[in-house]
Amino acid sequence: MTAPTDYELGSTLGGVQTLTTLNIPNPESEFIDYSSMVKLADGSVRGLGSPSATWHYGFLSQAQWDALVAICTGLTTSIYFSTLNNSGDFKRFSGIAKLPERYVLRGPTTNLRYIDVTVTFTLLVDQST
Amino acid sequence: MTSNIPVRVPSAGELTKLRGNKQLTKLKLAIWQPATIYTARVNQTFTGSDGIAQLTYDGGSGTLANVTQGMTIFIGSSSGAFDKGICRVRKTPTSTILYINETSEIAFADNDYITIVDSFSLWQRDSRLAGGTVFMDYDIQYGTGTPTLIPRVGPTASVLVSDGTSNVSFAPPSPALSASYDGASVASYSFTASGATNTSGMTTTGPSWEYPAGEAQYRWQCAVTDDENRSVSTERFVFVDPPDIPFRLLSCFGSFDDGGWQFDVAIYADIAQTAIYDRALVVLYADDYYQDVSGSIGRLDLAGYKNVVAIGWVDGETIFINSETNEVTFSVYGAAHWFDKLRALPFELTHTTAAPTTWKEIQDMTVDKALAQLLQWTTTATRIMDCFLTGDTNEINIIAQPAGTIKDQLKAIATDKLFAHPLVNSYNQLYIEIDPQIADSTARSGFTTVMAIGETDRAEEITLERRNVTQTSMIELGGSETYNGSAEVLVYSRAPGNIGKQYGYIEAPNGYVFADQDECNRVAGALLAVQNYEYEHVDIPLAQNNRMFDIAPRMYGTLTITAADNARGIGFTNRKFYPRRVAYNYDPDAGTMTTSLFVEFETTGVDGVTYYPPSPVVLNNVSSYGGSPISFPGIDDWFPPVVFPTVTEPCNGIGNSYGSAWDEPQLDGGIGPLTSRIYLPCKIRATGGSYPTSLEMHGTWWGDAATNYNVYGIKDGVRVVTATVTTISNYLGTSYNTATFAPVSDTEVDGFEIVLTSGLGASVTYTPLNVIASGSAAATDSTGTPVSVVSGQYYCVDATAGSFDPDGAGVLPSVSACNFYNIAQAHTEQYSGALYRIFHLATGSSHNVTVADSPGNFADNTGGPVSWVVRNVDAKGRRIDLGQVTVRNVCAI
Repeated sequence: MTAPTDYELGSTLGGVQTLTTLNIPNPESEFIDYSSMVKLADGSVRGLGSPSATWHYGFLSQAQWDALVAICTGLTTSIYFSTLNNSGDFKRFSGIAKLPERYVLRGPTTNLRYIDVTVTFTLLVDQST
Repeated sequence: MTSNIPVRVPSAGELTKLRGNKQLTKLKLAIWQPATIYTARVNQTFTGSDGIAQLTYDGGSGTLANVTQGMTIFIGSSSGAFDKGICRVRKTPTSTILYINETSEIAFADNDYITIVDSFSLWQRDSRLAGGTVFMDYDIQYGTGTPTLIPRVGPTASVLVSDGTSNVSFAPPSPALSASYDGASVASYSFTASGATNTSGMTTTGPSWEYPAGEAQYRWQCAVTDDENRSVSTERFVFVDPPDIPFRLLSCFGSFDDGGWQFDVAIYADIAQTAIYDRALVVLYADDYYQDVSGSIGRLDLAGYKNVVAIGWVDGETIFINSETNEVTFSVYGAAHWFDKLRALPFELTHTTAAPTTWKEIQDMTVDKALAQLLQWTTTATRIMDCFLTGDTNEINIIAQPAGTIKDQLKAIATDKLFAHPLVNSYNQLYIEIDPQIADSTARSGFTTVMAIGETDRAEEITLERRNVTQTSMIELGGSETYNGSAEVLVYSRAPGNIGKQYGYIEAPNGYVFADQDECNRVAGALLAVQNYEYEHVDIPLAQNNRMFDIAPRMYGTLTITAADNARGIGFTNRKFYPRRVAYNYDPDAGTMTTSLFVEFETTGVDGVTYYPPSPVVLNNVSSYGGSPISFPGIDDWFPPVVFPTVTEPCNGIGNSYGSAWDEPQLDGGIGPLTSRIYLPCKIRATGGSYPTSLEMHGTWWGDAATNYNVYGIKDGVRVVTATVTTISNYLGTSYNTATFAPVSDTEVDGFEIVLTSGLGASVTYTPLNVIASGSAAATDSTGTPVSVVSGQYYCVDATAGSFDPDGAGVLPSVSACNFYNIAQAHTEQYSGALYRIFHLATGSSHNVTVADSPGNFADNTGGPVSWVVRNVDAKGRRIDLGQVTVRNVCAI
């Protein structure tokens, strides 16, 4: 597959699509290189575990939310996605997507907004290697 | 093919991965779901539940030919249930009879549901005594078709993960480490893999095959055949693409103290309650990534094994079912836990130099031969797991153990004889190896040094608990040399020497077996060193997903600590250690797994010194009480008041019994006494009745005593009735002697007398004791060196160094011996290399030691001198150690 150039999401590696295509806005994203840091006997630090990432939205419309949960179907879902790493490059990963346990809904039912939505991605495995 | 040795040095590339960032692990579970092989219904009624060894059945469904010895049987009140109990297929069933392990714990009933499943567990196989013959597993009689053959074909289970579309390849480790322990040798192998395709080399040591992708489980077998065309089969289990089971790992560790591994899990999925049953086989395995590259680093570098973290069986007692959260928590234990739970009957194994004729004998018995027989014939262990033994070749005279657990028996044979510990590693392979701290330098040179732990391997903190006062002052070690088939030579050693260290206790372990006195000295020193090990407690947390260490087989790691890095200035470089506990720490959210090691640094002892304990003093050895014809002691002179039982039953009444004790506890054909008595005024019943008078005599009959003694009823000092003596064996396989009386009429007696025939007899055991003199004999010395002795006692003269040529041929023979000159030899044995010890019965108060080969013929001797020592000898021939006696069926006067 070609290297990603934008945020992506999909249930399978071959089925990933850009968020724009999925009618989901690009998020404010965070990337953590290692899930755990251990200080070694020589004073250096080793990063263990997989990277993790978060996508944050100030709000999502009903349609955007529906598009998101169509792929992240449960509280946690195995998915494939692309996000920015700390080098400023887009990288494609497999992982577990975890939807927020709580969220705030605002507005009339005809124009609902999901407020402060954060999706967490863990156990990331780089799919470009 | 890959050797079946689960210890290795990681490659340079693997070390780079272990020392790099981004180590991700996803732990997973595979639970064996046994398929139903055959079902039936019980077709008989039962009067009780005691000792059921077979079931008559009907309504069979399935392929009977697929029912295999060792399979698990569910007995239930409904189809597939096991609510009534679980048992084992003991041997191939017939069309109407299912043979099971003899059991008394299942209340079988007509029409009970029988479900035979494709599952094999660890069971005991009970011995049974019937008609004086010992049978293994209910009805297997000792004979030519009963091999002691241990197959070793790899870990109990493996897990293969495909790419979802292609077949997945599998190749088990080489079975070439399989071994025979009854004098035969392994001749061939034959693998069978049901459900496999593209099989190759199935009768070689490098078989391989493929399984189709997709969730499934398989069982494969290897039949190992020896050169006497006897075969033993073993089963192994394979999971392919096991389903994902959401779970939480609570703990996972293996320890020397526990003897094996365990892991505790909580499962969240909607697992059917019947899927997690007692003794379900479970594999904890890993999906590893190092620097984003998938691949595991395991001790056995083979697909299906290197991803395995631990293997065991569910301990059903810890199944916890929570109705609100639907969480099932249970513990999984390797074989060590189950060995400590399985009940074992008492056993006694004896050495024989000839071919054995019963299960109780082993030719040229070693610890390994005894272990092999125990594991193969009293458990199902060799059917489902590898069992590696000590490799020690010292022979042992007798091994005995009362009832207990399988672990008790393994310990009695291995630990209490050789300091060898049964340990089960994370692959569920049993290793019974001499403790590495006791092993000699030759053995240690064969241990693999897995890894040098440096500062980039371990987390920041390391804990050293240092002991600055010795806890053991002295080791006084005792045991015997390797048994030569006739004489047991006792050896003793003290370390550090005859004076102990300033601090600590004196310990006196005993009953071990050694190659010779030097080995006893070496082991005493090694024991002292390990017990006074400077660092009591060393924890090493590793900052890496590292599964290269285990509690077995024996392996080294090394540790380097810089003195400048700690306030105590403790530093060492590449100090060797043995892992004694390995624990895995798993964070499922972060995907990290790290390893914690609890280790013991290698110690090296200073050999102890040879030690001769003082000879025991025999008390109360009164040869004559004098006075009345019946030589009983005066009650008020030597013994406290004794109330003899009064027999009240009439001679035509029911049976009775009276416990008693002989007045002399030991009869010795050589030095006496020859007679012992019981005082019990009574009548011996006339022959022909339902309750004949008899004595049940417990004790030990040595040498030919069993055919050289008599028992009498005595009255006024005269023997009035003579008994018929026989040897009886009870249901536990132990023996006692019986003296049965059959007088023509009821006969009054004062008591009973046992009389041993004088003489040592033909079968004598000579045990050399302490040295009383030493010297050197020149080859042409016709006089020799006088040594003070006591007439009538036994001695031996040991040549300890040197040799001589008795006929002047110019060639020094390779053997040498010294004698008491012109005194008859009672026994001769080669005891050390080419040196002899010659046993004598002293006939005077002084005898001379020479190297004479014949009286007066010294002139043609050349070579020498020959160094010698003279020892006291304990010669045990015809002798009876009398124990409790029960007098049965006497009647009132």
